[in-house]
Amino acid sequence: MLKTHIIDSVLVLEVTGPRLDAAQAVRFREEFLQQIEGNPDRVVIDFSNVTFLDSSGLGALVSVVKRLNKHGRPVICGLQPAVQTMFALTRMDQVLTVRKSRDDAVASFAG
Amino acid sequence: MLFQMAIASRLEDVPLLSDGLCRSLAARFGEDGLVRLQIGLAEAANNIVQHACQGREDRTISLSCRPDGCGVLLVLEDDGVASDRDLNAAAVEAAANPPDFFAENGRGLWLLLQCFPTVRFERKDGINRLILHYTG
Repeated sequence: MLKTHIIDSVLVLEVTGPRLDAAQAVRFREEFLQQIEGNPDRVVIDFSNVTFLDSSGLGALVSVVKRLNKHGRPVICGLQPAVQTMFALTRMDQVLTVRKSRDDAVASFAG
Repeated sequence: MLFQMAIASRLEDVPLLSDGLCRSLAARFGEDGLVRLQIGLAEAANNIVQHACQGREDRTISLSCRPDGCGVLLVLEDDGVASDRDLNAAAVEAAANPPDFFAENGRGLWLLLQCFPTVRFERKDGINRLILHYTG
């Protein structure tokens, strides 16, 4: 459920499934942790394909963000309306770094 | 009745419930007005699967929806086990205590309360009933 890209030395992890929910959260977390075993410091999590996120999916995301925060500050991008609402309801939009597009997110690491 | 559906108590089946309900209410609330409904209903149904039905897929969760004033009344019923705590009291407590930003679980009940102005839990004749009022 993850596709990996390297763009301008930034690791971009694209979530491929349309839902990150209670049925998918454990698998998402496991796959994600495998992808960041090398402790990358510049990571973008691209949610463009995700149309629904529930609290279990959010918990899994928080878990991987906490892991990434030990080495850098991940940037999240591509929030669809329902996911954006979830971020707003839980105020995650205030504590996580969110950019509109993948390009914006990758560019935020420049300089 | 605006909508009625039953599913097996499987996390994978929860989207059937929320997608079906949202389709039937699209004209009433519009796409934007359905987002909180979708989020809240998924939280409610996930909790039933995980806690009341305890992962047993032979349990059944049913949802009915009917008009109620300026919104709709949703009733979720399941034949799972009774909660060992007072869920209405837990809801009052959850409403007053937003979860920590970096908590990895424990947001479900609080989120439910953010999506529905009225949330009530009941148990009668071996059936758990969750009654939710939604106004869009």
